[in-house]
Amino acid sequence: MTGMHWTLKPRIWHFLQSSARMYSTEISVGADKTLLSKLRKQTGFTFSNCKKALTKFNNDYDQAKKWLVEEAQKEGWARATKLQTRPMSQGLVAIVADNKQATMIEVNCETDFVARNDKFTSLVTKLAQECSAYFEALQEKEVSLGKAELDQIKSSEATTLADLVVLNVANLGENMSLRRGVFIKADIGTVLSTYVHPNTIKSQSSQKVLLGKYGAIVEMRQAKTVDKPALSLSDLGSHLCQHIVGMNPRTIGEYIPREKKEEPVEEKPLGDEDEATSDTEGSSKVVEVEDDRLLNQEFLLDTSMTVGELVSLNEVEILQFRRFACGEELEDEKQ
Amino acid sequence: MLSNMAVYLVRPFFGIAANSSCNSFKSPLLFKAAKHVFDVPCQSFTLCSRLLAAPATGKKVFVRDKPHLNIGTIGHVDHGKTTLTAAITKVLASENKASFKAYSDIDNAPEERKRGITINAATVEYETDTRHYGHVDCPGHADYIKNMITGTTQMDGAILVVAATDGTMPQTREHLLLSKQIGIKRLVIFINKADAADKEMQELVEMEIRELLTEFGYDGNATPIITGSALKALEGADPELGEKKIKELLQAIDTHIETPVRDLDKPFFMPIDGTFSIPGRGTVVSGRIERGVVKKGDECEIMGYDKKWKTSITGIEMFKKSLDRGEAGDQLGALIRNIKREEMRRGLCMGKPGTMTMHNRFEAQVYMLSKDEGGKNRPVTPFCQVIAFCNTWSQPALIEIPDKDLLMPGEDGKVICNMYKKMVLEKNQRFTIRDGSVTLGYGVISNVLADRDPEELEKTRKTIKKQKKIAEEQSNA
Repeated sequence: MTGMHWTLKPRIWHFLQSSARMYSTEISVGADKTLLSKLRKQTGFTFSNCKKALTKFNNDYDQAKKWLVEEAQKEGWARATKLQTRPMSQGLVAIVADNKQATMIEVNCETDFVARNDKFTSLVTKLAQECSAYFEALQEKEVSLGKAELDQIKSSEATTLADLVVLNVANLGENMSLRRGVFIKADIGTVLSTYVHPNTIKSQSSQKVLLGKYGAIVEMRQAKTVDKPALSLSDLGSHLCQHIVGMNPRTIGEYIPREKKEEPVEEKPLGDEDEATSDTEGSSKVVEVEDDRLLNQEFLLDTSMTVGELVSLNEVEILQFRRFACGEELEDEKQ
Repeated sequence: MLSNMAVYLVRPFFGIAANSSCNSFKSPLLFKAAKHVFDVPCQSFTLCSRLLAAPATGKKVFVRDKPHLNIGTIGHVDHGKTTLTAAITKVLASENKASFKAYSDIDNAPEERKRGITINAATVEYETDTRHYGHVDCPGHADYIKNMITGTTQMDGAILVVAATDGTMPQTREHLLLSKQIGIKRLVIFINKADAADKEMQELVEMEIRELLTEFGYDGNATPIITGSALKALEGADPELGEKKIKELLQAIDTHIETPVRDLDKPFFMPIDGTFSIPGRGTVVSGRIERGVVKKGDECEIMGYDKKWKTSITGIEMFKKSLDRGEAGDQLGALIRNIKREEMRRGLCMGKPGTMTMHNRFEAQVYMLSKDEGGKNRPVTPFCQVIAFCNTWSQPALIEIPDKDLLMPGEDGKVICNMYKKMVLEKNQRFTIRDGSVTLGYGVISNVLADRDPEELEKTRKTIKKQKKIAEEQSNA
């Protein structure tokens, strides 16, 4: 179908122009090699398409380039439709945030080669910025959207985000999609903290967009009574986010002071049963404790305390958190 | 005696297998594989029998008739890596040098279906006139890294596949970065889908590739580039673009990709796994020779745990019988001169003088096992203590993570390991990281770093620990 579109329209156009062109170029048989090389280098479109364009316009470089750019969207959709069934487990998580609001999105692709490519990181950066602007305009406390809704968002250039993704599908030749996005706005008196892991993937186009495989946002409130906090709130927030990325809690849970919890544990050593395995005891215990309530989890960066203890020491209350792991299975996508 | 009898038991069986295989095994490779299975036990049995029948006469060693190399295909998902692999097996199968693997066999290899659990790699084997190849095809960067670290298939070279219709893709840059990272010195290029692109396009694609290769530090001009159609070869149509080009490609691989140095030709090296003392004779250290050859009377060096000895080998024993020479792969005991047994221990390494070095700090590429693979559920944090197992030694190591805050399970990355004692180690050596009873991950040493003062290390460790505790102490005060 799309093939028909390509050939029909330019043919009429070509017919009208052909008389003028006869003067400048001889009747061309194929694409000119140097032009083909130049066009390919400048646009990055595939050799086949560059050649098709040059042949179509009798080696008129500017026309061919213009046509290629125009056709790119169509070509993208054609490719995207062709590739849509291929599984995507790679990609990136991106966060755009300041203290008052945070946007986190996940964009998928097929291989981690593409996930590392500049073209893809630029795409993800752009999508994150567009989403952030859109979410902010909604004026809501929280937003959480899936692929279908995200695709329809209009970008600053009046195309949809789906169009943006599809342009890159044509270029990188892999299936891609904007999978999900969340937005949190801080209330008066609350602070947001964000973190991505690993923080080695640098966005080429913007310093403000953080890219990684995992991302976390946490919203906290600090009691006013603290005059000399042990940790600055931003440090604490970043540590908490690291913990959330690392330990994958599901809920916040309720903080139970340690005294209550420790009693049964203390009785144990009296039995002296663990003595033989004392070598591995310390580590195996750590593995045993697998609580998915954030406050009850052992703090990742200092295993001598729980997250609950850490936040109560700092007189901080955790209000909510979000965590994205790139490519993870989602409950609502399983069906 | 027992082992000798075993030879008699195995030999006739092997003979039958060898005879029958000529009729029943269609593929010579299958036969060869079967021979491998039998040859390995035969090797050790012949060794025993030779020991009994001293003096040693013409020891029968299992010698591979062709050097073995591991190569892989890299390239964009749609550029025909799998088709090319299938085409290679098809072309070689017609010469009885491979068994034909159809596209679907390679694409749906069981490992590939279980994405994320183990390394995703489809492996096929084939041979040319001069070499035997193991050929891997992995879908992602991480899979190749895992492949490199676990060392199951270290790649000696790679075929980069680029479709003539598309040219290089933006991610081709990432493919070349990867091959640099996993230590591939030479590449061979296959420009695929030549049937769908004209001569000019093919030439331009070739130019583009050469430019890119040079940019990434490969010899762009000397790298062989073969233009053909894997699909035609697979279909058996158009032999000019198909079969002929596949043969050209194999020829290029044979000549351009270097044969790795055989372990036997490297200097003698043996990690010590046990020590004994024989009354009246002296100290014996035992181990399996990793590389090289050792003879009675050879000078050697023993190193490890910050210490170093010079000695010579006064006797070599295997299964309580003495012999003159041991070589890579042999498990033996070596009688050493003038060293007390108390000084020797497991974990020391013995080698040709001047070929080993001791260090306590190194940089490594590691892969942390995911929970499904038997690893832990929590990430590794900087300066945590683990145990590094390498050769026969194990040492506590403090881990620094230079470019990340954490190392998640299922993730690969760069770490720096600090040990309190200097041990024998070298670049490209593999090791295991464990914590208590859990294997956390595997690594390969990428760089040996300058030694670190153990006292300073201990101090740094304590400071870091204190920093972590500060929050607690302050609020308690």
